[in-house]
Amino acid sequence: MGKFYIDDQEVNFEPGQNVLQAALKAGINAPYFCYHEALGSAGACRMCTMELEPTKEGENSRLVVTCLQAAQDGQRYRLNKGIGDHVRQGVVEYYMTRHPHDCPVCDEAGDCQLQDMTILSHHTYRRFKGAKRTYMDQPMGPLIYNTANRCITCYRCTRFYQDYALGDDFGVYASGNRTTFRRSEEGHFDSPFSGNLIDVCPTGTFTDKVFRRKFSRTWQLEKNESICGHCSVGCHTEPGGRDNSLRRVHPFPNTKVNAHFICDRGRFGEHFSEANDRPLSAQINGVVVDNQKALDHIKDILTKSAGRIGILSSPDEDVSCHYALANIAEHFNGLFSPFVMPQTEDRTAAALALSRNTPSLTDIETADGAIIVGALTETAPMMDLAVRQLIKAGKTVHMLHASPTLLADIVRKQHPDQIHQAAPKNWAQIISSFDASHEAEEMGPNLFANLDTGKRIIILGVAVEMDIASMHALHDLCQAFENKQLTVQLGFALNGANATGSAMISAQYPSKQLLDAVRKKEIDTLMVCGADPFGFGAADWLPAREHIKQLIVFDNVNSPTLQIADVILPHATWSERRGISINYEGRIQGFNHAYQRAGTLTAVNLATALIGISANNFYEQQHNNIETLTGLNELHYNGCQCLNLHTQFEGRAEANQVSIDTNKDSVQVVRLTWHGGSNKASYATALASIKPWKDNIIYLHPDTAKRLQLNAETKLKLGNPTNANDNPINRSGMDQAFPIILNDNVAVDCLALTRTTLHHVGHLVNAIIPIDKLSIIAKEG
Amino acid sequence: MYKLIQEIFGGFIVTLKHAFRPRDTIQYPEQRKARSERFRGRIVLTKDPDGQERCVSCYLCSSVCPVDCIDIQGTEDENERRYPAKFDINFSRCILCGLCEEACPTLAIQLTQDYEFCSTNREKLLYHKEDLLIDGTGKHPDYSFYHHAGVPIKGKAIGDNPDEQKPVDVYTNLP
Repeated sequence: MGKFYIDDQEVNFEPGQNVLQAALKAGINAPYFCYHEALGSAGACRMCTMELEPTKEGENSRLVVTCLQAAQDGQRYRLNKGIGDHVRQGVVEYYMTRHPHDCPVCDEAGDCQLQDMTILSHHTYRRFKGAKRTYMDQPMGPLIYNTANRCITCYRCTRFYQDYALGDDFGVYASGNRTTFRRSEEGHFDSPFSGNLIDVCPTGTFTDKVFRRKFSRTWQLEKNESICGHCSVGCHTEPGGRDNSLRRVHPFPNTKVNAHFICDRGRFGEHFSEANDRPLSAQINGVVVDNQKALDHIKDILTKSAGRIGILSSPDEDVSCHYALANIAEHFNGLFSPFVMPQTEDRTAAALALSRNTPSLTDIETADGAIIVGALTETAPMMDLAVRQLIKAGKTVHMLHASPTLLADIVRKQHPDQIHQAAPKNWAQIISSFDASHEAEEMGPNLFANLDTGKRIIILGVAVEMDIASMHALHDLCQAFENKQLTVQLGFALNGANATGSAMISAQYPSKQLLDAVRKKEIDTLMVCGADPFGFGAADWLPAREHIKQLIVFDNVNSPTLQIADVILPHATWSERRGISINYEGRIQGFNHAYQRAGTLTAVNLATALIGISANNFYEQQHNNIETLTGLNELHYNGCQCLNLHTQFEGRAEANQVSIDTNKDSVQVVRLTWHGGSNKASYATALASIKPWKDNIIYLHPDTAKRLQLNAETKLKLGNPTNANDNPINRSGMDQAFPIILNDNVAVDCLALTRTTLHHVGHLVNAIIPIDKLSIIAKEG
Repeated sequence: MYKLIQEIFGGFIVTLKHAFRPRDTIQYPEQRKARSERFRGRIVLTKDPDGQERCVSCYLCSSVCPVDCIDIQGTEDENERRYPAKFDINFSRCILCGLCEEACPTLAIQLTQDYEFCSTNREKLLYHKEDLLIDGTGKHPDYSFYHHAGVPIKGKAIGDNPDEQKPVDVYTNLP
């Protein structure tokens, strides 16, 4: 801790900080382009030049690039007073000789660092009369728009894309005066973090293509800090809306969760709210009515069938929504559940109960080693970005996975021996063999043998892909590492943004109770909010459809369930409403609407209309409820408080351990997903258009194909799926034979299927199919 | 007494003098006054010399407008040329200050000599794009923004502007 001076203003600094960093932290309006808090200094732009006053008599003052200058006690810099201003004006004038006359048609204008710096350095007229250098723009897919002329070669984009996010399909081309930044070939980016190029670029070289056709200047957007509702990490975002529509999503930097960046799912997936088929008006039996009429109608239905009512929410909805719906259910003497499937509920609760000292994203970034189980990139992309920082720092990262995942590709490139591919049914056994106490080679890989005592390792699992036995195996593994004097943090990526909050509430409202009641025909009116019980991957619910006389769906996507609903109510999205979400760490985060969309309702509106509870009373009640449930006094919603997951979910890891069939003569169905494939984000048209997997195709490892005697000329039929009660399920794809595609990244003995294919065939994720049930059919023609 | 008479008749004389002077008032609407070249009247949107809309919906006019009477929503056509899908000016609010014209980087929005557009109906004073857009270049007959901007549009590729070099070949390191 010392201090230096800029224009006689005192600036405090920590050891290791550079002058620019300390000045920015102190709130000084220091100019810069290439410096970025997360990416560090490059010294490429020369914009942060300041004049350093001489310390001894007889010396001259000199110009220094402050982002490369370590702060030293007692130094005196001149920012606006000395010749530094003149130098910076020259730097900007040089940049502007090449910069096109684009501001009126550039999406960056208003948000543009080049504009700010040009004004800050008082540059006004282009004196250079020569012609401007130009580049061809490169088509970069449906998400990002490239205008190469605008580049000022600050290198921030490659420093982010290659060095920070470890992407390899984008880089620097040509040299010297002709340097440019582009992909190796036309087309969309491979990285799930490519959207950050838009924010990282200080000019308009990379702009948001989704925003482009409904563009508004930044100051015209209604903005607010919100929480991303597309995975369990719960990053802080800043959606901007105008005129009843979402225009763009930016990250909202905060040090607790996502310090600077968000993934493409968070940025472009939120545009599901702009899908053409989004329900935006209430409907009764296909007839559009106004909201009040629909609410009156629902009140009638619920009053008439009181006692035979079920309300189903989903982990994609927030705590306030759950509470409001639970209140409605209790008022009409019905049942409520925040989970569709008991299986998912058990897994989520078990994962939370077994979490140990859950790592935050910063904890992951600064660990000394990691074990990843499952397709992490595809479940929680920001956790993957944190793990990439470990890989970049040369730390050991072991990975066990069944379906293809981008993180595995990155680990494989550097350490192919640290990748373990296996069917999920064998995971528990494999994880036990990782046991750090085993010294002998044949007992399995002795991980982290070279780590000194006291080092910290991170274990991350993907709850939706793991059975409870393998979660327990991971938990036991922690103990084994702790015996070796290593610090271990175990966390799970969950399915659903508010999975933790949902699991907390489900102790009181278990999903099994609701599902059983539906099966026993005790329920004839079902209200569904955000969930999709008759759609993707929820085979247990399908046979119950015929018992339900009135299906009320309250949602913001055109899901298969919504398509068969009797009454439809339009639901506001997370950016359009107020709520509370709890992320995988147990961090309690409140959010408020960024913009408003006329005609949509929230669950609290429903509670007000149906059971007459006022919004103020509701929020007060909810606050007290959460305080009682969590045991936290003085509850805040700013993300500072974390639940104690261990006490909160105590005893829920033992529930319903299904014995696993590790029979050798069977194959296992694994979910084939990608970073834009979450429940809601898959309705965002632009993002969904770059989905890498094809529907109605089975992806499998060449060895599996050899074993099943499959080749390009044959098709595979999966046989009749059954639900938990051994009832056969009728699905359109049941009798269909699917072509196969060989993929090395699918584990042996696994059949990887997309969500849509799973929906067609009716099989569950991780379903085990005996080989004799599969049939191989020759292709026609 | 003399002073009193002088004051009364003096007043009559002044009145008589003014009766034979040229009039300052004119017989509007039969007679109209010549307006200055810089007169700021009704706002129009002009087209460039090629007959294309000049407005690129950069939102500068609506941002600079002190009374917030301009509402725009920009979009882009299939030739990647930007245009306003919606351009509304509420003339019941507009104070004809001309800041929008000053801010317009494409010289699209211009104030004309016309000032006779009052109405007894406020609805009629909300001018939409079809009411504002004229078939002509207005005060600036030669300017076309896209001939200076770096972005390509249909018929003008990158490097076609007079002040641009041909695009760099990024796959060579030869000088």
